[in-house]
Amino acid sequence: MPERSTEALLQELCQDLTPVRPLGSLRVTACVLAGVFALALAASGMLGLPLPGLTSGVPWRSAAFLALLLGLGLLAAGGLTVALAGAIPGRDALECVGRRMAWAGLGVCIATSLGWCLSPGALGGGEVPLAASLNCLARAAGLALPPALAAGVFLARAYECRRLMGGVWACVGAVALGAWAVHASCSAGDAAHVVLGHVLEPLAVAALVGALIAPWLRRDPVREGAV
Amino acid sequence: MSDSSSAKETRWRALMTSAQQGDCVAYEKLLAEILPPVRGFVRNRVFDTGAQEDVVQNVFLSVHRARHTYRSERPFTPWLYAVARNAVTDYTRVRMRRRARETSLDFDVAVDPATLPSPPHEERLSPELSRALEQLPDTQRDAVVMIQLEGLSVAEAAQRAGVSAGALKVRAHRGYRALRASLGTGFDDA
Repeated sequence: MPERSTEALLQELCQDLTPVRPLGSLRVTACVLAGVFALALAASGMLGLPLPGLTSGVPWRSAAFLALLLGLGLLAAGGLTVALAGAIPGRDALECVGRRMAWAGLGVCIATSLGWCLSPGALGGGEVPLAASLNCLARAAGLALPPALAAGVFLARAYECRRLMGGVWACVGAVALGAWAVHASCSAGDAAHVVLGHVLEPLAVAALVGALIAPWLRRDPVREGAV
Repeated sequence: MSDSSSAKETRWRALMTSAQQGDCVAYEKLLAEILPPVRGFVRNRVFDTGAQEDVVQNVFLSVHRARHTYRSERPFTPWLYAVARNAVTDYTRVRMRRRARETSLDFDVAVDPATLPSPPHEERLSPELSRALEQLPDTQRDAVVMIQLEGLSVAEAAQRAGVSAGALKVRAHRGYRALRASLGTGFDDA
């Protein structure tokens, strides 16, 4: 393509110029996410569901329980950071930090889950508590919905590059946040329930849902396959 | 960062902020000013001369579409080069996919190569080195190209990439190591 057509393109872009409202800052967006998550927690409390740290039966003493709490927290913060920072050009350093946090969180979750399940007597009679774990999964998903929607609104308006990964990370981060709250408030302390209902199911469902809805976040389909 | 690049950065920030408010003159000025560095950036990363100008145009389309994602309190240069880097990555992905399923025909191109703009560093790169560079991950290739081909200091390159100087050095070092591995002992990272 001759160079003069680039000059012509620049002229066209200038003629096409309309005022735009700059995207909200990451700090403000993070505050909005924290705010809607707090509101979701408050609503959950008003519905009579247990809140983090307020349930007497929570087995805080277990090291595996605390490690999973740390892992889910890291994954939530890291996943949401990757999604939001990756949607703004030039925020690579922050995205990199978020990615490290998220992978570290995921690593802690997987290692702790494996270690806990493989420890002698951890799985008891070998029954899988599916109904109870689905209950925790539903609570985690309910708590994750408001921050996930807020992140989705931000992503839909942000830079369209790597939107699939952004959607997946946002979903995983938001669900990890919900799972973190559920984990901190659920009174069941057996390994099978905790690993299945607080870690495996929420994260697998989040990754799947994120991959499915991410293409819908695309605001401008013209860009695809331009070269 | 030198005084001139700092002044340029300040000017570009102001022009972009005005462009976001709909100032066509500022936008035209900004696009004209960033065209040469964007062309240089693309030519140092896309070695197919026929595709370079297409990629440059895609960079400008992306800049136009993503202009609302720039915030005036943030530096402009890392934002611009992130958009450019993504356009180059898109091109590389499409090309890899196309190369995997198509076979190119050899024919004489009607365009006289002498009339085409020559990439600034192309003459210094052997085909083997170009291929090896293309195979590097984007972040490593950018670090190597900025330091070795564009002659930027580590601080300038880090500022452009939007990462710390330490992170950029690590990327460059990994890039050198990968190049050395694919080219044998002939490559020196000095």
